[in-house]
Amino acid sequence: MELFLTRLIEGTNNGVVYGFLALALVCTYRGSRALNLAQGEMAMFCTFIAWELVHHGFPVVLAIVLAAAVGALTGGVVERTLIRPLGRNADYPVLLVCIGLFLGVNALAGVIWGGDPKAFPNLVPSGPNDYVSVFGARLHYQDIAIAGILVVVVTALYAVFRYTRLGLAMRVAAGNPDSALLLGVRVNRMNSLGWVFAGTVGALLGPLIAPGTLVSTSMFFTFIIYACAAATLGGFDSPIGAVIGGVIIGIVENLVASYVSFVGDSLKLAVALVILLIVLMVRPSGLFGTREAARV
Amino acid sequence: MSTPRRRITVVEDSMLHRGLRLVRAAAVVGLVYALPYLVEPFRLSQITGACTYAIVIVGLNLLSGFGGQVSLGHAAFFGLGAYTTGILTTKHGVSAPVSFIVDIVLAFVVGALVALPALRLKGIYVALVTLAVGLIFPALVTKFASLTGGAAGLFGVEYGAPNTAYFGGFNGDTLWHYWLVMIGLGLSCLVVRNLVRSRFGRGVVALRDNEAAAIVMGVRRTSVRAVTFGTSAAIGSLAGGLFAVTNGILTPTAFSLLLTLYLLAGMIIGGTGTFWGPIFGGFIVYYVPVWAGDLSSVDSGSNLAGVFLGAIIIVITFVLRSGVLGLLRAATGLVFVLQPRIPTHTTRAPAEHAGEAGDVARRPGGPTSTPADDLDVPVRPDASSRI
Amino acid sequence: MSKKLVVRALATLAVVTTTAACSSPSSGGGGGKSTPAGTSGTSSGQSAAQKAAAELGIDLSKCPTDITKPLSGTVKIGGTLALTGPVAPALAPLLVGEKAAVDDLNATSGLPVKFSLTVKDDQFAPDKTAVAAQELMQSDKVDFMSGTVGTANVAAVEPLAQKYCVPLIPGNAGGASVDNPKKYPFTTLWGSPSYVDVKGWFQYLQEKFPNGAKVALMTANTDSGLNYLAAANDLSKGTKFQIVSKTTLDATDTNAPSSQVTTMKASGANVLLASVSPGPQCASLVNEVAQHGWKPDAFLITNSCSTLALMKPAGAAAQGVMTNLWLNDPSSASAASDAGLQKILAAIKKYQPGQPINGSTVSGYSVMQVFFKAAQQAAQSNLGLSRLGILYAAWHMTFQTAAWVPGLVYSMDFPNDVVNLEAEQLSSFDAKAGQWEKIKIYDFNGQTTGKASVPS
Repeated sequence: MELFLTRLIEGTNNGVVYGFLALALVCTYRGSRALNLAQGEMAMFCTFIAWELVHHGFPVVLAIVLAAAVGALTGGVVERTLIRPLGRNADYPVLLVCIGLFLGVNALAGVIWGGDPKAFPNLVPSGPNDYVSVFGARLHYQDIAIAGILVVVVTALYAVFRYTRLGLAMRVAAGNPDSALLLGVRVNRMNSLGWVFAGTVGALLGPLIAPGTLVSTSMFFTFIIYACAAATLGGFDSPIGAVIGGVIIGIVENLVASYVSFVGDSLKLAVALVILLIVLMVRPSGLFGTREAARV
Repeated sequence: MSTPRRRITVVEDSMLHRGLRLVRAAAVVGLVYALPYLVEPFRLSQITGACTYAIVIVGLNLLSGFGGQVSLGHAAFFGLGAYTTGILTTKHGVSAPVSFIVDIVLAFVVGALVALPALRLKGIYVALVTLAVGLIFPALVTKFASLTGGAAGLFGVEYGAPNTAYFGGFNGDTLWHYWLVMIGLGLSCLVVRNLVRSRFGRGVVALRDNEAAAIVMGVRRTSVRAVTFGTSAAIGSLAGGLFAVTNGILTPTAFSLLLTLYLLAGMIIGGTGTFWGPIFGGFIVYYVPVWAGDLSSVDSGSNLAGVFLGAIIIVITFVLRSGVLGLLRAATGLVFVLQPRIPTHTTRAPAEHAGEAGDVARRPGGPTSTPADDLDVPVRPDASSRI
Repeated sequence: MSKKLVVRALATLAVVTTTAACSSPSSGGGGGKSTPAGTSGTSSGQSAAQKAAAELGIDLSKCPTDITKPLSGTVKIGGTLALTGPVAPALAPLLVGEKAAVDDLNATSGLPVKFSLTVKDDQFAPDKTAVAAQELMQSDKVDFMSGTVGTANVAAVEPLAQKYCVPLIPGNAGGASVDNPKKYPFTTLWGSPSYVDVKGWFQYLQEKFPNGAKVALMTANTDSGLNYLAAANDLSKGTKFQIVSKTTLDATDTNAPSSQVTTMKASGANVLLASVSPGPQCASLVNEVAQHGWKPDAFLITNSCSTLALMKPAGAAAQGVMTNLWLNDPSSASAASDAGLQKILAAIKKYQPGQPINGSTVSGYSVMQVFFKAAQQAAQSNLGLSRLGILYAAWHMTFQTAAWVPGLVYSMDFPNDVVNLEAEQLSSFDAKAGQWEKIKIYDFNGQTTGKASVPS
């Protein structure tokens, strides 16, 4: 029983991280219907900035907040300078720009900070004994903290999207920009906002997982894939869906990897990918996404 | 552009037009034959490598450029062909040409199967399906290590040169590989060209431009998409087999998402939906990291080259919206004007479509596709009466 | 369109017929076959060269250039390294060390010729390594190659080194599959092979647990990890050590290896052996083990993780973790009093000022040291300073370098001992001091040929 619970908790911890990054992807999608493959690298860059601040004596919380601000700024700048000028229906150019960002940001971080991984301090005590015991299984404070922050962020985003005029304006701007313009919605600003949110969320996530994964240029390589799977499962335009999707994937992946010996450790990613494929075949809009109907 | 420039008017399909195309074809063949005499053997290896990528991009272009389906997993088909050839030749004693055929058939089937979930999807969802397929591949290779050599790699794949005088010298193998890849490239280009110019190809493009209308007009979406995917995968797989025999060593990390991203970049930079674009794309994908690396070896210990690569890709997206080929078209458009053949039963005066061949007209609402000057697809920006 | 087909067919036909007639472009560049003429001085020198070549299994008549000819002027050495791509930042210090070494040793080694190093980018991809090596051998006409990193990459260079008779002294890889002097005598290796690391582990385990133990093994999904797995399987056979749990970790997996640790802990093992990719996974694993509250009686980690920069981030959790050191880490406490190491550091600072220095920099330096040492030994031998001479020396050399932990010796004696480093310094991590505490040296000199190299 204890082993099963441990695995369940591990899966949830992973899933929380996937959902967090998926949330950033959802924000970008809501902003300009784009899949930002470079989201992880941008988050990684902000994590390095947070590390730099901590290295120079800033308190951890302040460093994280500042890094989130940088993330917000970066998101907005990227959208304004690189994405918006490409115009609408520019699927390929946007994809290409994201690819360029992916490669360039990754390399830039390597140039500035080098190849050695760096330690990042924890927000909450994270020694081997800092955990809550759940029927014998361990639930560490750091993981509770990450989950807690995620809940706060997703609730805030959900509230903004659903209950404010801003959220409504964003939805219209992304779905039907022409009508939105006629209605007086500042479509450009709404597009930017999506990327700003995404940048903030990513920059928040990095320092939270850094104590475990260490700050390095490759820290987000695999997470972005899981995030894509999570966002697909949950629905690309649903923040809550992204988080729930992430947790589901995390749990299923860990349980399958642990109890199905064929899968083992090497096909863990494959589990998430298979889930992704099944979702796309059965219900592409995901669990909580809005079904899109196109007028012919 | 009010002052008309003096340009040569070429009527489509006239003797002059055919002559020009013949000259172009002959020049290409001549270049291919002459290259080994002109460059050093390692350069020939580089060109072989670039053209191997070009073959994959030709296949990718069929799917994405002409078919309009984003593929984030093409490296998997490349890898499928490479490993199939590798395993068959090293562990089962199959000869390389036979393994190439197996590559093609196997990839065609797999590709067609992958097309099925992607049938009803659009936009980023198609991208995600292909992403998933593309990522599963290296994981499977690593998992079945006893078959594929796993992470340690598969060694010793080779296809020796035949015993003739031409291939007999010290660098015979290099030359042989060069010819293998050139023939593969030529065949792939031919296949794609004929496919696109056929009735089938018109269906592919129609589905890309307006799926609902195409279906209404009788294009069978399932079979067209499946065959397109299958062919595209088969071409990529052939390239993989060629890659395996020209390099001899296969590792799963060579077929990662990173390669797919490079291939996509190559396709777009070369010119999406064109015939010669993928070849440029292959060279760009191969050579930009090489130049970046040369730059970097001057300044030790810095990864600025990677930054350059990313920056170049972004800059090119803005500067060369229609890719290198668009630039070339604009250049030739300064000299030549392609005048379409006028159907004799209309009463319209032969209007001069200014700069038709050179116009880098971007169609709204879709990936860039400029009408190739020898492509019979009835999609013109200012088509009025034709559907 | 059919006309075009006809024209194309005609063109192809023309090509085919002319290839039969015209001269082949494939014979250029190699320069045809050369005879080992008596250009190497005295007559006894010639037979010595032939004897040496025969011993190494080299057919001098197949070499495109005369490798017995004495070298003069500036001799070119070529290298391939990942200068771009995701692994480039980690490998960059190697290049700094290598360049500094070439400048320093040119000045101090007392050789009549100077050496220059040209490094080309290979993006860590074996196919690009092969092309870069070809460029170096054909265009830059290097006389030697040195410092190629990675097992698959060295494997890509080996056949070329063989074909062009350009010695690779040394390749930087720990995989047994590329230590193949019978097939590829032109390639020597440098560095601690994976097999020797594992042998050191089991030596320690046999001393500490004379009644055996249950072993949990974690390996990376890389060629190095597979080497560790094979070595562990081989060395545990017939002993009282049972491998009860095997887990793997992807090199690119950035998640902390939580589920693997859970599996291994649940298996009841009391010994943990781990080979992960050098990088964040080292500290990540150590951290995870502590977070799970698992305290194995012995926790041995690969020597790729022995750099202090990779272990320190784990903090107190790393207390008691053991490894086999072989590289002298400039940030270790003993470095300040190590005169030889300080000399090396001074040289690096002198010739590559402004570059950060870490363990990889020093290891890059020591890669070139092997080459220069072989050159010095060759200069004094009756083979002289020629390609063959330096290669022969590299295969029959014993020397100590300050870049390695004191007590470890590079020792090769073809054909009985073809593994360059067969000794390890067992050490335990002291988390408070943030340093490795040395315990004892295991020396398996001469015992691992055939296991850490391809069996002949």
